[in-house]
Amino acid sequence: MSNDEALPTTFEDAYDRLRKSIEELEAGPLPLEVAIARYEEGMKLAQMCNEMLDQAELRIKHVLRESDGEAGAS
Amino acid sequence: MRQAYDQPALGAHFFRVPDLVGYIRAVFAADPTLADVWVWGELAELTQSAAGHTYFTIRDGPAKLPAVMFRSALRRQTLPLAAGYSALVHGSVGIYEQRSIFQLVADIVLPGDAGALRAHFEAMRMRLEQEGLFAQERKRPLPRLPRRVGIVTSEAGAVIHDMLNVWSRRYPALELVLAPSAVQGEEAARQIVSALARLTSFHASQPEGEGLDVIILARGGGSAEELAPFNEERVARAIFSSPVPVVCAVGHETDYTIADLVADLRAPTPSAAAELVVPDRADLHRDVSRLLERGKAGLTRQLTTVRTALERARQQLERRAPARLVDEQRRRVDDLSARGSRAISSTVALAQTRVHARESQLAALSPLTVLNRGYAICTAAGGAVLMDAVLASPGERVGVRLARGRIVSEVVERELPAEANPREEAHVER
Repeated sequence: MSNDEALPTTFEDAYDRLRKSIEELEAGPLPLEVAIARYEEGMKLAQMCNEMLDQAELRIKHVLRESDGEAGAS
Repeated sequence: MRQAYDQPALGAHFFRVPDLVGYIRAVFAADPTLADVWVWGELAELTQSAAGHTYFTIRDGPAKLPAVMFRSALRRQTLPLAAGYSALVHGSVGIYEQRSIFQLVADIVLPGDAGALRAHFEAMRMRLEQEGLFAQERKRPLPRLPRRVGIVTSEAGAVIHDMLNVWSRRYPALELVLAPSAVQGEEAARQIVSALARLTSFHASQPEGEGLDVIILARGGGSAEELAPFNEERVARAIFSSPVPVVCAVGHETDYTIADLVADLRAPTPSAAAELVVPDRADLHRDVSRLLERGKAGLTRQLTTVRTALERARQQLERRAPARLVDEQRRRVDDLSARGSRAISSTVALAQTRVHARESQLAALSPLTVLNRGYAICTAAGGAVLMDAVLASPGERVGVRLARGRIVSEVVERELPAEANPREEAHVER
């Protein structure tokens, strides 16, 4: 609920936010509704993490060839 | 040899021969340069000793250096030693005490051309080392969860496929940026440097935090010649100046290339490098569930805290609740009224007992009770009780009340008591 940020788009982001939510929850007394919100958020993020891991498809995003780059020509 | 200095009376250093030779040997042995030298020259005057050592001379123009390669070193020596070979010899210079000559105790003899290459290589290696290119403290840690991995390798061949296989299985949530490069041959070193430069400028062009997390420089195993590009200084410097940590995976287990030494991490093979840079997805699934478990425990703890506080508050509130106060008052009233009614009923009971007692008393005194014993009450016509016969004249009617019922009688005769007034006549009938 504190995070109105966009949903994480990468596993690292999702995992990182999951870890933070959980640590906050563990750290100490939170207002009840915040604690519940953290937990719900954690559940959502955990699900996203799992889905991202299972659905991710390895891809070669860029191929930087000598001719496309600034690289020194022969 | 300290003895030599301990005899100042003689004014000079006197030695016995073995002491002097021993002293010279110690001087040679203490010199770090002499312990580790490369000498380039032509092999000559080779002789085999009975013990299996090879004695020879290294010549360079008119200069000559006696040398020996002991049997143990000869066993590891791949190039056969032969007179006339131009060679690069490595070893340490020491004193052969029996003949009081100095000699090179050789451990490596390389063929001349490769030897020159090697010497050049060693010189460069040392220079780079002194510059700090291999320093452990500049090795950067790899990110735990990389997102973008840059790869420098050949686009053809098994290496890239092996790595892709590892990642598909272990951790497919990766974006790969491939900078293809030849990894052997004349062009390779220049192309590797250029590929690293392309990755560097790609990295720099990305928004903060979205660049490359790690770069892998990879090729399969090969001969020393094939690996030569990875020993070139410009490659070493390109790796050194990379803003992104570099993992070097040149497929050979035993020998290290300069590139391996400069890289932030060295992997024995490209597949091993692929594994090293990413976590295993199964582990991550486990991590996620473990985090969630911790979260559940945390939430439960917090809920318990809240619940306990709530319960405490509820109890406090209850103790002060108006309903409770009313109840208490009501109980007090009930108490009082119970006591009241108890008191009243005992008073009544007491009164009743008393009444009963009076009643019995009364009953005992009642004239009716007397009648029950067989007495009767006689009343005159006016209703007055007759107590004197003189008041009842014969012929007069009197009422007689019995224990049960009543009769009317007529006075037939009367007897007056003697002492009584005789004039009065009463008719009493019995």
